[in-house]
Amino acid sequence: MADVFEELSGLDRLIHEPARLSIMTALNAVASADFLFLQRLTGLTAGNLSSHLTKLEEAGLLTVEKHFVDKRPKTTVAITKGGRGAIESYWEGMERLREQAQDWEPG
Amino acid sequence: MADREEIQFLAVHYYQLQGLRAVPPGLTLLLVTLWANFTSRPSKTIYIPLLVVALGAALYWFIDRTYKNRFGQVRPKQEDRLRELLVQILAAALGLAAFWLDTRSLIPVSLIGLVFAGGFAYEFLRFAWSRKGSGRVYHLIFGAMIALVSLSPLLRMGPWWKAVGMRGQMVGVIVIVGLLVVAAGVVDHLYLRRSLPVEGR
Repeated sequence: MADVFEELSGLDRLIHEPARLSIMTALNAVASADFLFLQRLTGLTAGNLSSHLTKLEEAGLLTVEKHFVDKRPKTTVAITKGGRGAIESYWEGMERLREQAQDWEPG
Repeated sequence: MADREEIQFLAVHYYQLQGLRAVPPGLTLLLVTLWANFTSRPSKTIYIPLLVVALGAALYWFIDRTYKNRFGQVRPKQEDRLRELLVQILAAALGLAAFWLDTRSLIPVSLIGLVFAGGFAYEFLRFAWSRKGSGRVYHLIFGAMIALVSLSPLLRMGPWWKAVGMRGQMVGVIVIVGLLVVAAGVVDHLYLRRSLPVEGR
């Protein structure tokens, strides 16, 4: 049982938040995505999504590029190498946790 | 949304799930084939298929723009882009070869129909690894329907195409393909709409 708690405490809290977890998981599967796709995927408002992206960018987990296409602002988001490592390590940790939880019997 | 598999599935297959992209080519195939079936030769209405192709291209442009503006864009990984390109080139080469062989009526089956049936089966199989992808079983059903009508002379089903007013088996098969391409595209789009919430929180 102690292992389960150790595993839980080792989870990356920045990524563990559901919206940020969705963003990181999606970006890990592609080269990049735009702001609108991430908004549709997460169901967040523009303000909330922007706030989550800023936190992830400040942590060095992703890059945010702003540019204009047909005179319209467009934001493109891509995961960094460190971000890929972090999300993969998070999901590996979750998988270990799931396996340990299956073996656990309440005393 | 917090289902890891569904998120990965949506991100990786985002363009394939934008099903309305299949509607203009499906409709164009259907309408041009119907025109070829009902027109008398030599045709004085050759402008009709050209107009249909132009309208199909315009509709595709509109749908592409709508998806970009309302659903956003994803840039797939390099290896995924390359694989998709190779599949499209292979499908186009097989389709052209099958069409050429069908017009010569060398064998009593529709090869172009079998190529489309294979395409539908591929669309199902490449997503079947995921729980979400396995729900796209209608691709497999549509593929089986097309294979059945393509092989009908071998299965002693009789000239069904005459009963629906078609000149030959190839024309009948392509009309069915056009209808099913449109139907699959609409169902794929409905899945995409259900999967991506609109409301902000």
